[in-house]
Amino acid sequence: MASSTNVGESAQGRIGGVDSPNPALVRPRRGRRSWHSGIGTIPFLVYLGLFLVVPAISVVVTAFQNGAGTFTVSNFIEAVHGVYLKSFINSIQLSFAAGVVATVVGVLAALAVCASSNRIVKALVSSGSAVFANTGGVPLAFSFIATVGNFGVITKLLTDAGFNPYDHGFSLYSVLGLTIVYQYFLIPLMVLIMIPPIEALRKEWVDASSSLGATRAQFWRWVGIPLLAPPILAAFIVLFTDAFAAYATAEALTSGTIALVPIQRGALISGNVLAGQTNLGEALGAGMIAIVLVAGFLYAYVQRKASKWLR
Amino acid sequence: MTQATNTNTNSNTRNGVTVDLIGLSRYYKDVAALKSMNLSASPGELIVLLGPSGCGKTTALRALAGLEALDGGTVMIGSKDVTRLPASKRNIGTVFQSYSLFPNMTAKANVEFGLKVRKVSSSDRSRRSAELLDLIGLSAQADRYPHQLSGGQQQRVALARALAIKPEVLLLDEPLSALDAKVRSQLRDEIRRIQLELGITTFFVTHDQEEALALADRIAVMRAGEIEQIDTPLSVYSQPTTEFVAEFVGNVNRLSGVLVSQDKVEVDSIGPISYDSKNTPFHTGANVQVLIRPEALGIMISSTGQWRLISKSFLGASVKLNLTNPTGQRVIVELSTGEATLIEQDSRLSLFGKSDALLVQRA
Repeated sequence: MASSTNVGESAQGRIGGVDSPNPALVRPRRGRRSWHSGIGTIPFLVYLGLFLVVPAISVVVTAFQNGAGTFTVSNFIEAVHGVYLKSFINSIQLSFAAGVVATVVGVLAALAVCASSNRIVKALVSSGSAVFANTGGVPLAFSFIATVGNFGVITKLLTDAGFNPYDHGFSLYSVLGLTIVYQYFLIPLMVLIMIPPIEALRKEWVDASSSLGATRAQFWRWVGIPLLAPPILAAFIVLFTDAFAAYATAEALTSGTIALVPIQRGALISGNVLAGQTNLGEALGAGMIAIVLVAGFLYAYVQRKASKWLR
Repeated sequence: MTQATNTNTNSNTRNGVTVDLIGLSRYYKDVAALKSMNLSASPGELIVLLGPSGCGKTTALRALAGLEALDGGTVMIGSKDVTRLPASKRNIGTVFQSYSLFPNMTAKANVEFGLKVRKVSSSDRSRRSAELLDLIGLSAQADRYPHQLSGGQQQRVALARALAIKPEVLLLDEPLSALDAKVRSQLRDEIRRIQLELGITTFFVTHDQEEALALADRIAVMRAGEIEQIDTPLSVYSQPTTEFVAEFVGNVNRLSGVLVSQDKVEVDSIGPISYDSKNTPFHTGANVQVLIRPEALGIMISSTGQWRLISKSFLGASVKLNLTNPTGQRVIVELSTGEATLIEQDSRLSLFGKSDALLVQRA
């Protein structure tokens, strides 16, 4: 027969061949799957529906209503003016700053942990990070007040030494103060997220770049950082949204003296300031959802650009 | 060390450098990965480091590449002592076992990486990568990312990447081990063709004896951080100097017998087998053990034969026969496929020595 197919060759690519991708590496075509293959996801979908979709729809619907239940957009108009607009600006600035600082410090810390050959150090950092990443609220606020608050232990020691940070522009009860306090849980969260992708960087890539004449800095510039960029971006979005939605720590620390969206919303819904402002509070909530969605889409877009080699 | 005669080599293409590993030592706590290892490669020679896992072959290769710190010894490339030079300054191309391509770069960008590091102009980089991709037959795949290439294609790109910097020495650390048998065999030939074409001094690490025999100018058989024997593939196979080499490179039968003259052993249930006596100073009448290759034994169908067939393994051009006798002794004999068809399950068989034993040792 004039033409024949060599099974061995087509499976792995011909030597000197023209075009023979490995079928094992080619994604299978999306075909029609049997309906019961997705049955295991039902509990998760129910959970998502009850605790994410239904509340989100409820927030948006309520935001478009007035106290009598009639359709209105006035809540949104009010939500982007005055103190509420300021609260959005403050929240975005705080979340961005806190996210950037935690991303930089967290990545460096995760790199240091991964570079350590001591397994005990790695285990301690991982388990410690898991604990600290979930610490927040009133206890965290109190621990900072007790140490670097106006009359905290460290502030007192520094004052006795002739340097009162509060006389030099520092305040724990400011956006800067909150940025610092948020690092307590954001940096461990970043470490926790970044250890797996850093450990996935193969030693062969480092060795190959060295043998090709690259310095360590060149390896990071052309290989390491491009490979880590997608997970770093993803982690930054997680940190941003985590900081953006944080309520208890900010409330306990500032008692509402700084306009932040979660605190404003909390005050409106609980009726602490004015009764009957629930709909406006939900408009702020809808705004928060919109910002998180924008962040998510932005991430997806940037990741698509940064990791075209994954497709 | 004198350069061995090589049946595989096209000697007029050689233009590489000499490489000398002198007294290399490497310890991991108390375990010696390399024990004062010495090895010299002639310009353009392909030396295969062969041995079981943990014998130190990869450590030796990494020490030569500058990727492994040494506890002692000297690495010379040409007349230059590179022992203290980092890997990035040694001008050595290395191909690793697998998955060493940078996944965020296309095949072309991977090949150009070393040139980019050296600040070679973009046009020169493109020209060089085009040459090399053509050499390995992957010009059409230049813009593909590693995950879009097969395992064999990835390893060929890794080879091109290592060659792009025009290295003085090429190191290949089990580059074929993750590939299937057919691609492995094809790529092995491809590597040898390119190595001969470029005349580059090459070290190839493997634990696959067939790969070593097919590729090498010389094979260094390693064991526990030391070179047990270094010689041409033919000599390593047919004249092993130690029991370990005899058993690691190819199959052997271990048989008991009595030395009946200075070059002959009377082997139980088989008869006389000759051997090269120059390295075996035993006296006549000594009880000895004979190591002999399966293909060095012959079979006769005989009504008085003591041997019976247990099983046949078809190997393509040859067949491996497992035989036993009434005392429970087992022997493997390898015959051509044509000869083996004459042997049936109930045949009574006699064995005889067709050619010399490899080694004779005191029992």
